[in-house]
Amino acid sequence: MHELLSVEEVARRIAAGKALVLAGDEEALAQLPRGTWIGGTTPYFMTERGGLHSRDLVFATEAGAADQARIVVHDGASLSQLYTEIPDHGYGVVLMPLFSEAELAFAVGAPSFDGFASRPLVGWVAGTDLTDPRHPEPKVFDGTTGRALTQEAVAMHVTLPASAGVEIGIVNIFTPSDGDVLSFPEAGFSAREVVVGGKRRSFVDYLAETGLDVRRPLVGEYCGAGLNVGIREVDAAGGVVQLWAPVFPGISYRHAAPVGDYVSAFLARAPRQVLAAGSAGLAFCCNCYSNYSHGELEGKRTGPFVGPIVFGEIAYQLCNETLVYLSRSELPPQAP
Amino acid sequence: MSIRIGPEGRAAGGQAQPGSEAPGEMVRGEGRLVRRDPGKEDRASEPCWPPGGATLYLPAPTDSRWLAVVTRRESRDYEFLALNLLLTGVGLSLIRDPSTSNLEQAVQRVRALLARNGHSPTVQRDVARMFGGE
Repeated sequence: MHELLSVEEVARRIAAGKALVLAGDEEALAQLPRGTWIGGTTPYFMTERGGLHSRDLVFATEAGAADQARIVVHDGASLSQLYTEIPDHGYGVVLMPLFSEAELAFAVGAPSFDGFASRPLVGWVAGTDLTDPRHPEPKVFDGTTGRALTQEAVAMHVTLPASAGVEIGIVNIFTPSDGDVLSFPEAGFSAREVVVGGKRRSFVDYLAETGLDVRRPLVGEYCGAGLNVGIREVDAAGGVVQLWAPVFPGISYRHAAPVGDYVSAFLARAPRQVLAAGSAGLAFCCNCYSNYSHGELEGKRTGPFVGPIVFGEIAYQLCNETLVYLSRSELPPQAP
Repeated sequence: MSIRIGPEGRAAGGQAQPGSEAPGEMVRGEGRLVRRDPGKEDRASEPCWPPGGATLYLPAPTDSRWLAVVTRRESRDYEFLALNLLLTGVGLSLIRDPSTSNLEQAVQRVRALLARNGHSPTVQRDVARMFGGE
């Protein structure tokens, strides 16, 4: 079940013993009673009616019964245990605030965590209403205590019934262009140097000379999967490029090719069986604010993919400008 | 579709103990049990692809074909996202540390991932790409 609900309706579902992953404005989430839920701040959503902005409503994804879910709060240091906590037959959902210590630790460290990718882990990065003049801090909530966290991550680990299975998928509408292959000598959310044609040079200068559209991400090559790194800011005076996700040494990146209509692109690149199963076949979904904004998705639908619009997406590791989903299916019966 | 049965008697459909097979264990293949003799060359147990059915077969960890997989000597585009990411990571790790122990660990990790998710059609297609049979 994934729906945009009133605070009152979410409260009823919490009281009814549901385990919930919630997205909403801070003031809405702060009104909720304690229970088996985790939440993160964002006022942007993709719904059955299309993309919309709301400070009053809460997007709720039901993860099952409360006794099948366990909630854990992690700081940057303990996040390395995240994968080992996920149930043997289950999945994890982790939320973390934008620019938090947890996000930094996870984004850079996840590929080195114990058990990385051994069990399904999805999640997203919380943000805020970009039009709010108060510039509130992004937050995540531990529903068991009601605490709002600005630097930590909160995870829900869900045990699945024996008959059910899940699989993480991504829909990345960005494909590598035919341009230069780029690599980076150091891991991190910022880059001063890029390696092009075997030669190190200033990344700022390279972007200026090539005139690449920095609204489109770099696409990293991962054995057949493309993972994006969004360009946040080109600081020409400081000689550094700030990124929305870390780059890693050893990964080859290319600038993304242009995308026309975003809705068409999402539907074209989504697996047919996932589209056919509809939103009922999804246990989780989120999409990036960058896609929402550049794709002008307010009022437009992206098929069965409904969920919060967020500021970083997690599919085993941090992704950018990507739609992430968790599809759920019935497992074949065990042989006698 | 038949699924390889581990020593606990459970199918590798998310509940098996990955990488736990031992020489001499009984394995189910297409409705019959065969005994693998200890000490025999693992390659002797070749995967079979009977018409009309598909067998998910994971070579033993010591099978030399894993080397090409984890070092990406033969590049394949895989669909299972965890596999994409794990192969990227172990590939980079092996460039930094090409020791035998690291190689064995890499094979174990990839094999365990595939065994744990053997029920997934995505994984089944990827395994077919790795070891033939598509």
